[in-house]
Amino acid sequence: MNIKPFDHASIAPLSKFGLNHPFFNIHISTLVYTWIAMALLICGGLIARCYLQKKLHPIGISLEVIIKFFINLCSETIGFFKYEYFAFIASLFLFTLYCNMVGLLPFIDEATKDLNTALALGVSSFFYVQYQSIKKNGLVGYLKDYVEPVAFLLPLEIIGKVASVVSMSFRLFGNILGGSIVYILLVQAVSSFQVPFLIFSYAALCLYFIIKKVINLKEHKAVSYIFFTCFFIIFFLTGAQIFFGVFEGFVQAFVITMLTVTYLAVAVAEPVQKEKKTKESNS
Amino acid sequence: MILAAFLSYLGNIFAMAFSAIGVGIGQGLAGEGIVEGLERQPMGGEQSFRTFIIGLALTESGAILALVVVLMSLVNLKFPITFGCGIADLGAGLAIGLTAGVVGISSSLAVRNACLSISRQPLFGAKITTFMLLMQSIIEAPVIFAFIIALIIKTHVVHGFLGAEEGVKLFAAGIVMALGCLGPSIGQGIFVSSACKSVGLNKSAYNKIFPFSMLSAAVIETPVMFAFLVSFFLIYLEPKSLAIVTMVTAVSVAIAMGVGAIGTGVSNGYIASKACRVIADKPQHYTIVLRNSLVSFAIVESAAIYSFIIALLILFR
Repeated sequence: MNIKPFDHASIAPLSKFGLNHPFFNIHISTLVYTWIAMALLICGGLIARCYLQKKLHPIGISLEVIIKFFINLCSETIGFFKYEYFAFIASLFLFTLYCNMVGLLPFIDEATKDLNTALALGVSSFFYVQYQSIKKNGLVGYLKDYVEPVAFLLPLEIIGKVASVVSMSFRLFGNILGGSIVYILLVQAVSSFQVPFLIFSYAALCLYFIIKKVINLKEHKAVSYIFFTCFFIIFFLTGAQIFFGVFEGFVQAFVITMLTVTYLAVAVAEPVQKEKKTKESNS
Repeated sequence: MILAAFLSYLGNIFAMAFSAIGVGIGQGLAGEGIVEGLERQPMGGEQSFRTFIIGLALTESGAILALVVVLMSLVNLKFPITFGCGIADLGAGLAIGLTAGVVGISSSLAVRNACLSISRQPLFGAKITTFMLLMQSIIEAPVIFAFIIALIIKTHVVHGFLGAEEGVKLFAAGIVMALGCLGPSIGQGIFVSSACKSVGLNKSAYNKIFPFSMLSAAVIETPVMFAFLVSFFLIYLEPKSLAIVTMVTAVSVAIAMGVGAIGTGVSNGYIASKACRVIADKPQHYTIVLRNSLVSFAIVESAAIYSFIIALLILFR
């Protein structure tokens, strides 16, 4: 077995124009997985739209609770509510979540297992925060922020900004890759086949129940052994999948969203008005 | 030859001894906790006894996994042993032994504080037990990772005579797992004892402490994940041009990632434990506590991420 984290199946569409550098390659598998995640996201949105139109439907109410959670997150952390911020933050969270969880489907890996996806998420969140900061404070105010306490700390500030992007992306990448490798190892320990063993076990379980129902089979020892083996494998692997796919994916998506919200809150805070208010209250 | 056999036996001894020390100390602490709880409030005695039994069964799983590794090694032991086999055995033993020891202590700290909490809130006992079990199952994750790594190392050792190069590579893989799990497990212990205590202090804050604890336990364990990745890449590292280059690469990567993870884990545990206490005291400030502690986690953890990046750069250069 040999897993190489930085070697993906790739194509070079621009090689006709002489651009052979690996920078211009496209990782075709990651691209397809991301498309699948996006398709699922769009389908989920369309389904949610249908349910939101009905009044007092349980799915509609739960969707409203989720959306309210995001609205609260934005308004409490940033200090005020703005639809622009809310839209970016909620879509960042949902996209990361779907990319992390798309590996639960058979034959598909997580899209964030590729470093490029994680870096893209980190970089886009970073540039969004800088853009909003410039929009809020103006270019001069934004640049003043770099030399604010002491001027000679300028290189340190720039390194810090770059480091925040790097740490954000590598946290996502490392966690998702580690989880997927642990899961692959567990599957390989259970079976030496390359077919997804979980589906096979599910199929065996269903067959067992169907046979039991239809033919009214008497309890045979071999059959019950097969049943228990399948049940154990499903329990074990599903548990691992829930931990690494659902739980870890959710936590990492939440962490990257929370960090973006906090950086955004720092960037668009209004320190001047607060000082004025405190002065007024003092006087 | 004698050195190789000595190293191999040393690995097995370390695996068993460290895990036994950790689990033993931990179970003692948990037993002290349940007796102290009985002294405080005898009404919750039955529930806390149930909690104690279930919790200790989970705590002991580390020692049992170490026992499995040692038995596997002893059954498959064939003389003569090469130097590579011996040092690889030492690495596997250190990985499972150190991790199981530290995790044993931190996991039974959860049992101890849960018993104390039940004595404080006897009518809330069932929820405290569920909370403790969930936290313990997250704490046990490093042991599972270390067990997987130790098993892979042992299968490599069984399959044939290892050269010194392969052996040092596998030794480094074991070392990075042992060192990388050390810090986060200590941090988890500090955090979980505080979390179980705060549930007992204010049961109305349970709905806020529960999601916060799951989140921060997962975040504290991030360095373990990095250490696992690095260790996995080390095992399947392609040999470089010279044997000595491979050895130096493996050992330096192990030190970079393993030592880099220690401080991060411990300090994240401190942050999370204090945050849990504050949430129990003032549940209305939940949002700001969550925000501040998450940002502190992120800043502290960037150190581990930098060492991870450096390790990857050395590995795949």
